Amino acid sequence: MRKLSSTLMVLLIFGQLFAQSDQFSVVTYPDQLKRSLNQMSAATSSIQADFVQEKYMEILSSKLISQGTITFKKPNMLRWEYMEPFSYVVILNNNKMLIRDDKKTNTIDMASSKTFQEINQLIIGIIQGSVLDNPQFDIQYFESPGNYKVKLNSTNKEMKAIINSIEIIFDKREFLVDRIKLLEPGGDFTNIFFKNRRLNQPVEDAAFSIH
Amino acid sequence: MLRFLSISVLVVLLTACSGYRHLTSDAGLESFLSRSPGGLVYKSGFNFKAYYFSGIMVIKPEEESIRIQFLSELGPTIMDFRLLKDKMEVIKMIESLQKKVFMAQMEYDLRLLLQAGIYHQGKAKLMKSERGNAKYKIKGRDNNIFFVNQTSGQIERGFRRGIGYEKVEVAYDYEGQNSVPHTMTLTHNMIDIKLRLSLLN
Repeated sequence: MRKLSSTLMVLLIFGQLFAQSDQFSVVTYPDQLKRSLNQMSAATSSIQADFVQEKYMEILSSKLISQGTITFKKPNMLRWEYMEPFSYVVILNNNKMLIRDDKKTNTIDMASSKTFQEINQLIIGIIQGSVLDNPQFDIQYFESPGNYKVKLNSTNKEMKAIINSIEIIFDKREFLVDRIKLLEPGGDFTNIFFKNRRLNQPVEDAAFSIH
Repeated sequence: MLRFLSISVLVVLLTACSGYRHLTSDAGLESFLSRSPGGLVYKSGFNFKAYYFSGIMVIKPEEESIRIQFLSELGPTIMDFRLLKDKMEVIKMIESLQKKVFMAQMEYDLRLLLQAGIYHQGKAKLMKSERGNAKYKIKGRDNNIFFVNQTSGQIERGFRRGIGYEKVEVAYDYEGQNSVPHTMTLTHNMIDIKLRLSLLN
């Protein structure tokens, strides 16, 4: 028990050091922050943004860059589209998922698979903010002068083998997602930067058509 | 009788080995990976019966192995392995995919696709050479056959035979005189499997 406490202490100290080196410190008012994020989420009916994705790999000297657009409409419609350097679209619409890779199209009925339902909940949850209530994650809150960082540590064994943790960095003034960081067990990571964010603009349902 | 059998086995072995030469850089047969030390990135599409999966394949030649990572378009690495001269080492893979038959199939397909026997400088035998085209057999764990355009030095296609009538073929397409294939397509004749890769970097 004493050994466990010492280990936890070391982890906490190192966690704090890393948090400081990134200029983030632990939030002392997590419940209030969570309420603010939930309020922002409740007031948002649609989100449109451009994104740039950068993947850092230990085996490559340069990062892999891709870019595209994201469109979200309440309650659970999402279009995640890559335009460069390849064409790839993922559409989530209620219980259906469509994946279009170049000219190949796959439609998946998520109601028939627990895994797909969980993926659906996770992606929509990150975009919408409801991920903060997802029991599959141990959640920590950090802040810097300009941003909040929510760190989701996966507690699911299968998921942990692929993604150790997810960091969502919010703009402190507007509570908008600036960046998502996906950290993998081996140290590789993916940064997704959002720009040209437009909130609550009218979005046609046709953007999420599965056919 | 035993002496005759021993001599026969020896003769067969010696005959089988004759003509094979260790590959050197001046042999006229070079894997595209030898010319891409920084690594290659391909967009990949995989058909299996009615299913279709896609992702990114990153290939990095290392001193004594070939490192292969499959990523989701959304970033995370799903599979990671190292192809050595005589085995495949799994670094990361979803538990549910770690099935013996699937892994063996994948290893042999990747050895053919990435010309692993040539990269590892195994033994090669020139089977045929006519009208600017040469046919080589690579000896080793994979036993693959490759066809080379002797004018450009580009490996244009290859195949391996499996059990019974099984045949797995790979076709390489290039842009001009580039030594790295722009697209690679691997097909199985007995199972409805097709893998297509398009160069991104």
